[in-house]
Amino acid sequence: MVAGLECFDTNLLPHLALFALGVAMFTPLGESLAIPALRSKWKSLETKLGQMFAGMFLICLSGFTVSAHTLWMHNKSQEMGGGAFCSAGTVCDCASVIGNNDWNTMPVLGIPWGLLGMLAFALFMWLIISMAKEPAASWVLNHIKVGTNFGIIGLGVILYLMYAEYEIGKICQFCTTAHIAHVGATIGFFKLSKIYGTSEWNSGAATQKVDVMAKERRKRGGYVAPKTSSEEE
Amino acid sequence: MIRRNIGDEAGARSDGVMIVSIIFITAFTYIALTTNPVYTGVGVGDRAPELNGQIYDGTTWVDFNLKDQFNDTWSEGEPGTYYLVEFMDTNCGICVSAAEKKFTPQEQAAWLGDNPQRPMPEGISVEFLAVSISLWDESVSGKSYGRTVVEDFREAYSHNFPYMDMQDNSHQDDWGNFGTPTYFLIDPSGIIQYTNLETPGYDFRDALDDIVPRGA
Repeated sequence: MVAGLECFDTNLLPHLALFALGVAMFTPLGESLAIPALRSKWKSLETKLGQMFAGMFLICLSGFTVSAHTLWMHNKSQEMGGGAFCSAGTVCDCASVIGNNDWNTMPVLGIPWGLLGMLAFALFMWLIISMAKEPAASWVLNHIKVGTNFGIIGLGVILYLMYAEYEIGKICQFCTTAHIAHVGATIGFFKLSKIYGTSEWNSGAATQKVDVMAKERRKRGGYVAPKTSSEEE
Repeated sequence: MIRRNIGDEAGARSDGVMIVSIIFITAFTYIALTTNPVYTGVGVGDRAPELNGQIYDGTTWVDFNLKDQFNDTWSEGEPGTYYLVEFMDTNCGICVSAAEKKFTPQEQAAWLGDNPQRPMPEGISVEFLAVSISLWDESVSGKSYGRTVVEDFREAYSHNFPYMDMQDNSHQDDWGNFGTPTYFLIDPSGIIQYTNLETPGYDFRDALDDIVPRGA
């Protein structure tokens, strides 16, 4: 085994691929990734703002899928009374972390951390999808604020979970991937709040508006309703 | 005049809810269909909590961990050992009565040992384990505790199964606080199949007969 690779688990690949794709959408590479086929389906990908939304969605989706994976492992460990699911390294061992009944659920509420991750990333995805669909809406700023604040609260939760890993003496790669996705999403919300109201945001929002009007025309089959004289005024 | 609100703002948010709900439900359905979690607890169907301490086997006190006796991947039809765990207090009148009338030499011969009288399939066996806890404090008049009390109790009723010393009541963190006698019948995978906490009128001897498979 190559040094440093003992913590790598091939089951992480789909989550990491989504995450990497999401991060790439933030970079100049996003322009190339938004291929014409995708642009024709999602017009918003033509703008930098649309690419940012797509990137954030992919990052949150990777966080969601890896959280779902940890919940699955949690349930399996409860089913089998413990076991090894990850590479059985000396430091990297998910079974010891997710299978540890003293740390694997939220204090007070008792829900598995994986389920909390799924709920958190589902919230993030909803905030992002709704903003991407209507970037000029009146509630967009509220969505950014909610996302940013939940992101900050989540950082506290991550610190607690890192402390749990320290106490157990093992690191779970799946949990760490979810933590990284959360940090990525939080940074994304900060970036959105930074560009909100700027020309970059407004040009993206304008493209979206045209998109909505085109969609409406398609829905009506090209029919344009006649306007009364009072409406024309 | 009230004008119709033709804004798409609400639509964007409800679209988001729809998409996220589909993703969430898909993931949750997959998890629900491919896993069958068993949680640790003291109810029927739960995995028995940790129980370790020292047991007296008639000659000496030795370390014992109940979890080590189970095979998590055991399934019906395979060989294995069922455990009947009795939480008791040597000063409790009902426990004394149970020790005398329920754990009789005949009852022990029916279930315990290499050749139990009760017919059982090949490889299936039953073990009893009495866990001595303390309901009172030793300062209460007439109540005495300690390992010699446990040894004498076992001797007095000719019990040939081990007794665990849990008189510090350290089991309560995992098992909870209950009266005595409390019985748990645990299958070879460590899952509780019977407890008199849930079915008070159902005697442990009937549960043993109903749950432990019968051989030819």
